[in-house]
Amino acid sequence: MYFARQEEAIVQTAHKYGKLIRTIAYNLLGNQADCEECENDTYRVAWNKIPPARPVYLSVYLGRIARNLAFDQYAYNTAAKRNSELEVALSELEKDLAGISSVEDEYEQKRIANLISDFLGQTSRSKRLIFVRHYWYADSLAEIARRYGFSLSKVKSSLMRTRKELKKYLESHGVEL
Amino acid sequence: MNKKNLFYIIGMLDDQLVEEAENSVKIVKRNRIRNITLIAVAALLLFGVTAWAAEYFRSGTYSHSSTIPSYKEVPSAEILQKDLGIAPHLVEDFSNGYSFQAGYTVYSEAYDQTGKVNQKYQELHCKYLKGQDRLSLFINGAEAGADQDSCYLASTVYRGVDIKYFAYANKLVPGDYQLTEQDRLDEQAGKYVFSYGSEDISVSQVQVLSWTEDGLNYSFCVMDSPLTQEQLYHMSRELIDLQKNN
Repeated sequence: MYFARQEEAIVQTAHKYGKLIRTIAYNLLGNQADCEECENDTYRVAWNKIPPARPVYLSVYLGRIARNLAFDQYAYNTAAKRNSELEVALSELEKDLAGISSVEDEYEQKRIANLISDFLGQTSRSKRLIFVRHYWYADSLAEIARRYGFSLSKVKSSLMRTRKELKKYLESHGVEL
Repeated sequence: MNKKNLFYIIGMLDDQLVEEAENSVKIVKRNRIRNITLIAVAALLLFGVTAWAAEYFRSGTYSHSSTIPSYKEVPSAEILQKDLGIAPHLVEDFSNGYSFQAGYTVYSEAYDQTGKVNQKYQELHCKYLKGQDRLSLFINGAEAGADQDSCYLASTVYRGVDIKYFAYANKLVPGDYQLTEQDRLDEQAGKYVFSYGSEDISVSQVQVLSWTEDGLNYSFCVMDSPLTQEQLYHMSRELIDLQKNN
């Protein structure tokens, strides 16, 4: 429908992926009004990008748009002293990867992202899911524990171990310290 | 590395990792009671009707699937060979009125005792409908074979193919559900097989038929269906005939 430029595509997208988009936005923003704005903006951006974009996983594609839009809003909100799950999640990661230099170059960012993907691909499935749910979807620890039936302490310790192993992995693959 | 950096880098993670986490439900490792594929099949069937995709464990196998169909029409053996590496011939309409509705790709990983992945493969899940009743057909080429357990209730042989019939009560519970003492007793007694991930607690009667032919594993699965054991056997014979005659 996107390729046929049928506006029904947006309605169907909202029906099928609205919950996912709202969840991501809410996890990042913690604010219903901003969340709705982010959701609507996500549909608008998707409509403008498809075509020519032809996403393999539409859910991931939409989630990524929502995530980026929410982050822009998040930056604004943070300035206004609001808080979110994202703030907590990024603070943990920032602390454990503190030695790694910031990279503004998109190519280098993509290289590191690929290394993290490779690392996650090699780690256990439960660790991988917990990591992605927390840092990509910004799910709270409690939400992850509920989702997978783990205790809160198991989720915490899993994330802590994964972050430490990730740091070693990145170092061993030449990510600059 | 600052937070902004981290945010964008994490945002670039591989799509498959993100998709896997999106579709994930409770991680359940079952190593007892009816260590059979059926737990999984039941879970898939149940989750498949929700808004999200399915995933499940079965005898050391983890699988996940999208609810977006890969095939809206019956795919040919050639297409399946190209897409999934298996080439079964599919029935479009069974003689008892069940018709092909959609086909889904299921991604599976078989684990050994230590958790190491032994085999990764893609499986075909076909949905057939007759009115409101739904039948799932699973086909894969897993080396481990179809159900190897001895807990089947009945079996029959047709054209040299051994067909096993299983039936059990499946208790579907929320992802964070904690088994009560009675649940444990029920599970140990074989009264229920538990599947996780529903919003409410419910019990369904599950029937499964499994067989292996020419290196492919086939399973029918129905839940609370009016289909009888003999009717399922009949459907399996139609599918076996189709393979033998092609």
